[in-house]
Amino acid sequence: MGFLSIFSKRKQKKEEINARDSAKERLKALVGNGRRMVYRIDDFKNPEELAKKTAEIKSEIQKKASQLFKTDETKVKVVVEEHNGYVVIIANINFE
Amino acid sequence: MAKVYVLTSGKGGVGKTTLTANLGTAMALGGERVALIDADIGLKNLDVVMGLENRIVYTLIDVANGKVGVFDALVRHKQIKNLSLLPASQIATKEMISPDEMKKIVDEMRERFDYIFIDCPAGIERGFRNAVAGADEALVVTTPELPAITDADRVIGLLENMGFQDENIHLIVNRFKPHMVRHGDMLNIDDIKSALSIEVIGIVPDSEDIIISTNKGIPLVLTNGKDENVMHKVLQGIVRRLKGEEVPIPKLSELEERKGFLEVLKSLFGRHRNGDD
Repeated sequence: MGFLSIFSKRKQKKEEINARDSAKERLKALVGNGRRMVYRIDDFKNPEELAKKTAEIKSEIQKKASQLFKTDETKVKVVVEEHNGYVVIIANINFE
Repeated sequence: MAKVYVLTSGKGGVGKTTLTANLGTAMALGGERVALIDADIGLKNLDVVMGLENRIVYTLIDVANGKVGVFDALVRHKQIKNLSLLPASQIATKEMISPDEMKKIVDEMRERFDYIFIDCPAGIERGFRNAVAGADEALVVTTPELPAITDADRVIGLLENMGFQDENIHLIVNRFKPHMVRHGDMLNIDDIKSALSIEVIGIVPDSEDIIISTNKGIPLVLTNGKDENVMHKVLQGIVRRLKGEEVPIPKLSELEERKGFLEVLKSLFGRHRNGDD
């Protein structure tokens, strides 16, 4: 019986899918085999208007933050970014 | 004018910092003027890998805030005078510097160096955007496992969206284990290459020497008497490719350290001599 189980174990191991093949298959499902979708996030219809409005928003935040924290406007840095379709506004206030 | 490379990955722990330190040091050993920038603000490590943690006076944040000029904040390497580090702050956050400020700092440094390597933090948020802002080309680091490869794919997509051309994005496969590939337990280079569709500029095998050199604070390429070491050859090969030289990627068999009979015996019997177990 024990002698036969040696062969059955060996057979079982052969039938198992190896790690590389499994990883290859899953990788294909995850990232595909081709190119990534490329879309430029700064392709706006009216970039000048967008830049103007962004500057206005930044300036307003700078004013409000400097009043609220009683600090100079130059010590408030505002950055506007796009992250996966969301606009993220980051305000940095230097209290030094 | 310096050529600026950013080492990025998406996933953490794939070896970006160690590779930044070693590629920068190898480049400087060839006589080039090299600067390393640690963009991993808050979780900085590049100074530790370089063994320069006790020499830091000013950081990237001090430069961004106008406290000091960029050249006053640079830390020069102890042995290699043409190698400098712009360290990151541990108490600051990535939001305290903007991509525009980072680009300005890198542009100011370009005149005095031939090559600049930026160590990018893990993730794809603000820290990533800061690190990438000033770079000309990207070295995407991955290990041969699925999570690292899928994250690398995401990062390559983001780099392309940011305007990086395909020819300016290169792949480094780190911690590669040839014996696992041979046994069918790990993805091979062609599998990774076809999934990511970018050119491979280097394959770095897994090595215990890297752990030892990191613990000592001495980049591996600086360790003596190891000209025949596979890791040395691999790192030098990447550096030469970055310089534009035509150097073939090593074959699977060339990535393994050949041990002599005596060395095998020594490693078998000497394993526990200095350990705690």
